[in-house]
Amino acid sequence: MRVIIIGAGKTGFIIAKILVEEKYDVVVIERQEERANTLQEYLDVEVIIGNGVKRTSLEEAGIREAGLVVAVTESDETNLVACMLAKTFGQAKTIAKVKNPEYVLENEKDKEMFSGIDYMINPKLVTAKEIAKLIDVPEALDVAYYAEGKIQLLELKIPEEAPVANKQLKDLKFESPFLIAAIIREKKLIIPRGNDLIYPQDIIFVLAKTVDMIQVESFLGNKREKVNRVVILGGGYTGLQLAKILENRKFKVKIIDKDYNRCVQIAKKLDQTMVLYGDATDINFLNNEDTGSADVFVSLTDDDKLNLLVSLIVKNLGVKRTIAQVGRSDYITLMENVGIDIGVSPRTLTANRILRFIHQGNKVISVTLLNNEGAEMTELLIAEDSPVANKKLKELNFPPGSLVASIYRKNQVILPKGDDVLRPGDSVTVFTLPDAAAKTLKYITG
Amino acid sequence: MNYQRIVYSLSIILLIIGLAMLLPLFCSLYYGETDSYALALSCGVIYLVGFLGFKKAKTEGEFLHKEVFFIVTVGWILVSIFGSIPYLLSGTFTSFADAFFETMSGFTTTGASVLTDVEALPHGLLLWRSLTHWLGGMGIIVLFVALFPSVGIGGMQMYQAEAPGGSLMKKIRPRISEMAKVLWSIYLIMTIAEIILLYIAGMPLFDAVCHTFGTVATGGFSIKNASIGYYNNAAIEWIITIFMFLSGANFALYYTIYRRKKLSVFTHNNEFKLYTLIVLTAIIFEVYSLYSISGYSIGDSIREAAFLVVSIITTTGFGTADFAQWSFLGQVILISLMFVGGCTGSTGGSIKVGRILVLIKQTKLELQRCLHPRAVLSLKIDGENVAHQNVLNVTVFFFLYIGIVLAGTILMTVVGRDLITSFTAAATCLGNIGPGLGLVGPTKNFAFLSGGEKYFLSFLMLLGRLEIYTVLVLFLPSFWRKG
Repeated sequence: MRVIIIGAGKTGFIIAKILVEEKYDVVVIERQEERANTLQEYLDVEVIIGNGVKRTSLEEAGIREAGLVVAVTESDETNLVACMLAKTFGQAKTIAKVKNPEYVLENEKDKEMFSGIDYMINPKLVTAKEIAKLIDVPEALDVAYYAEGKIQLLELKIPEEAPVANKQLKDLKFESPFLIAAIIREKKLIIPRGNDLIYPQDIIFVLAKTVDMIQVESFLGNKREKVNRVVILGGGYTGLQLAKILENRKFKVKIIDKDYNRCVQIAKKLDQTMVLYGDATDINFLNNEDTGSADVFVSLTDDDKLNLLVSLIVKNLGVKRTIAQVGRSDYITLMENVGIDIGVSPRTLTANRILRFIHQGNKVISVTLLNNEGAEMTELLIAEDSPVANKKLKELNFPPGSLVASIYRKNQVILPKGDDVLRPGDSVTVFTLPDAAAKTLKYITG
Repeated sequence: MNYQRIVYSLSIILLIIGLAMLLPLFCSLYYGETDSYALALSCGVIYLVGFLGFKKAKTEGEFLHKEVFFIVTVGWILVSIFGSIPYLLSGTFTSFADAFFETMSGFTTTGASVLTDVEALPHGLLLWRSLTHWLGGMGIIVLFVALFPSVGIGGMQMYQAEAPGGSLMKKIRPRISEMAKVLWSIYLIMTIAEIILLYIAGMPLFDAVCHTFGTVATGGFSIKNASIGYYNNAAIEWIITIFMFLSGANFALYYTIYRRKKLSVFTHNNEFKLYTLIVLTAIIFEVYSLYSISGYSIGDSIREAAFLVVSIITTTGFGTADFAQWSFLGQVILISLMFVGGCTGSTGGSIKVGRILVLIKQTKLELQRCLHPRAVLSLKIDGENVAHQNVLNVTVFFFLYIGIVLAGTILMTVVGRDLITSFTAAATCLGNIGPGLGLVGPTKNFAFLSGGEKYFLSFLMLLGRLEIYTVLVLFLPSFWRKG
């Protein structure tokens, strides 16, 4: 299928990269020559220097054959107009990134606002929702849900004193079933086998029933802290939405902004949250508000340096966990190295969400990007005519670098062994390393 | 100010009152009593003056802010003057002060009376007396706005100048004239429902009509000397208790329920919840006081406590018992309720539960501000932000209210009244309640007061009914200055 991506920014880049790996024909329309050249250097895509709102550029990109148009430029209006224009050519599905909350209603399902746009995505809202998920399981570096929320996947760090450290995987016996799908060790991602060892400082991806996860975590040496008090820096749209989600879940939320008028505005929109007007780099102010005793501190300003600085200050004051929004996703690792617990990139999150939408429909329920290297967790439906249907797992030849992590059948969660059978109608989650994704998908769907 | 417009509007208001007076006139003709000529003559006078103003004056252009306040205040005084003519012509009262007090007390739904023997009055005048309640309860101006949508944008301002709760009241229909019609319709439905229920419970039809007018308007005029206690009938008392309670709630709520077809509207409305909470708490205190201190039976305690608590908080002022004989606890609870009143958008008077709610919430915010000086706080009711200006309006209203009660008390003591009488007379008149304690207690009346005191208390009733600001603004020197 031909996919046209309008805008070669960070979001466009990530989407293009993944889609190329999955064997889509990708055409990118970018206005700036410099950016276009960079893209051409790194990715196997066709790049057209032009404007997505011009008919000629779209025609040049092959809009008539395209199945999908993704508009992710920095301008909302360009994205909206480009999508509406693309729709006039024919059958292409359209996705627009829209930052201005006034264009997108808070309910993401509301697609009726602009005819011709199949999916509108608001990066700020996505970020707020993603951070809310992280706050639910604060010790995890990442959280994802499958099987209608019954299966949880966590990215965890193994602590030094963990009872499971330096043991072989096959020796880890626990009453509730769980699966360690992957381990990141020294920046390399591996799918472990039974005789592999777990070391402290390993980052693992563990999958279990959502209800069992707390026990599984403590077995692995991670205690789940009860989160009650959250402080948010930055009263922009992301901060406001996050505060709304959190106050609905009965968290005690404070939100800090240094713009008095903005404070007044959001104070009107929030019910339980306390809005504080002040400068978060002022330690006196932070102390007066007892920020140090907060369970989670989330910095959401547009300034990466400020987010980093304030996160380090409050960490020093005693905050248990810090989550920082990072504009340039390449800095995430660096920030996590100097003491910030989780760095979140709105652009990466947006790309993820768009990819999930692209994958949806043809038997794929969802796709989660697990780390920056491109490992994926795909949730998909086994069809009647699937080549893998009604066969035992050990009889199947899954491509190397892939792993069937869970089976969800009639409200039952199964963490499969070799003797388990894949039945039509099952929804399964499959873990794949970057280069195995496309092959695995093909292997299952035929 | 454009006096043409003002005279025109006032004439119409007067004509509406004149039209309403036909009802007691027909009633008196039906009973063939002596008051029919007094009522007929009064109608004649009102029509003459009304038509004269209507014909001579012209209406043109939009109302100025000043004119709105002037029309509302003067309109209320005018109807009270003209409304007292039947009492004077029939010889019920010989002094104008008495007749004016009684009429003002009727229109403002206070229910304080200077009549020593109500039962001696003929049917026509009794009905007129209760009808003044009914007209004043929902509001003469609201009726004017509903019937004459041509007042346009000035209608909203007039409505706000008269409506209980003032700026806290929300618009339920896009057009103010439609909203006024909706409110009057609800009022009419409640009135008919109560008349039927009281009739079924065994009250004669004429009594049922008069007492219903007194109930739904939260007025308090009875046609019996012993008020509702006369009937000594539990069913009647409970029906009146329930209707007083309903009339003390926001009428806009009923419309919302009708629109959304959901009873949960009540539980989502914080003012209604607080109102219910205050009523229930007060009843518990009163039951305790009556049962353990005064030695009533438990059944009687509940019945009397419920009736009087609701009667006082809604500022109706009907009586079944002489609460001057109750324990101090019982009395002080009732006096406290006099400073609460009904909900915004009800027919009740006094401070209003909505304002109390704002004050409570703002108190919480002020305390929070002490701990968090950099917090940006915003007061919300039912999830909606209340503008700072409105909060300020409420706080100042509270100050004025308390200030006026104190000033009233002082003035009454100046002429030699005792403290309890002075204080409760001021509070009961400003709150549009009716009975007080001491010399103006539930079994007594206001007849013994001097003419000056009667005019003063009538003024307090007007201040209370129009919620202070509307009347007080007329005393601003700049109100009368040109330019």
